[in-house]
Amino acid sequence: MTKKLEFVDLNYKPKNDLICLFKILPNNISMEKAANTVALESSVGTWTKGKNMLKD
Amino acid sequence: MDKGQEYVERLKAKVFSIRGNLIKVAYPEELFEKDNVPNILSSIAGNIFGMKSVKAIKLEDVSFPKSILKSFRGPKYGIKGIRKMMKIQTRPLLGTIIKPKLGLNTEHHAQSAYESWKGGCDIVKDDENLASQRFNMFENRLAKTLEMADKAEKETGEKKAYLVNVTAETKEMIKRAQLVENMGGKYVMIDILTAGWASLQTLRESNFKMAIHAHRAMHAAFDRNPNQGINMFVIADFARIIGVDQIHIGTGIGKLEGDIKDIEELMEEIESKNVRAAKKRLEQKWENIKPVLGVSSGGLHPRHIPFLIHHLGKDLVIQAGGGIHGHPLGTEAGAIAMRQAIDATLRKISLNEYAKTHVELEEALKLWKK
Repeated sequence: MTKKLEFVDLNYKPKNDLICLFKILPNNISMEKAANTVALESSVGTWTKGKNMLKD
Repeated sequence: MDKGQEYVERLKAKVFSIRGNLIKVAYPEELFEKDNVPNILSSIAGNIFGMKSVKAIKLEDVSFPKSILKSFRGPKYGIKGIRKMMKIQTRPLLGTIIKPKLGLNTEHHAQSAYESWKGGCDIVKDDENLASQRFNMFENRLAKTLEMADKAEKETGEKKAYLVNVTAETKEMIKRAQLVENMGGKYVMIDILTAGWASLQTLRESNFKMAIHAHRAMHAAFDRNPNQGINMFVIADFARIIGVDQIHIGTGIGKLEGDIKDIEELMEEIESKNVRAAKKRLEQKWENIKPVLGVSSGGLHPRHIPFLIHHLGKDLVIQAGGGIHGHPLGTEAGAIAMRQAIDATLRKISLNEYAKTHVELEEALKLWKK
């Protein structure tokens, strides 16, 4: 089963976003996976899913 | 979907381009406190540099959306404002740094500055590591050197500026900048990286009358390694958005590392209104943010002038320290030789030809062969 990379969206067209250009050398994983970790760690992500389960 | 997951969906960054080893990531503007540079950098240039998922990572460039551009002041003067203040419309500005780097007492410092201005320098700046050491305390140095600037202005009829280094703990730095304003100085200089982004913001947002000269000491710790760190484009972008009026960009020649092609691209990044995308550069429309004047400094002497003007144009500060104070006939002659080299280049006359009728240039060319 392939797990979806939640922080990669190659069809996304930036609008009012701040854009960063990175050069990365992945550490024995694919470019896509490495790129996913960059976007995750530099924005809202964390290594584990939140268990707070906040409700309205 | 639980609430936490909803927040993630709304604010997450998205990788929208992968080409070879280069990736582009889009961050929703809401992710940031818009006028807070440390906050922005803690996301885009924070933990990611140490992640195990990458062997190396370099932040090559950043492009700001309009909403973030609008929350910053940008340069107070910029290129046009500096030219107006200095009454220099077309030629590059000539500057020097007092040498030796450290150790001159205040009288010798002021004297050396005077000779530089007298010979033809427009600006004289402190070295990056001069602050208020015991051998040359800030307030006295400021007063004596500004006195010499006034004297040189009267004698030459040209505008003369002293770029005093105010770099210090932030509150102390603001006190020093206030002294510069009270004494009628035109500029302050700050080591933007060792002082830190927050303190640069404080200095700019204090809205003093002076222009801000940004020295980039420590940049090579971020930008020298081609695979890891932060490109100078990013440092220059944040300096521009906060609002320095001029910033060091390198020389492409002489003692410090840096390829001239990279420096040409960096020059466009800080001096253009609309920056085009290049291999490692993002498009940027700068909107309300004025262009910043580029400063070439480090190991320069008169023989380098044609190369610099050819590659970097006239909207440039050319600074020489050793290349002026090391002149065989002394500091004043050294400044004269640099001005002669600029004049010759703008008049499209070779330096060797011009040196036949200009003895200061002739002496400089004899000493510095390449």
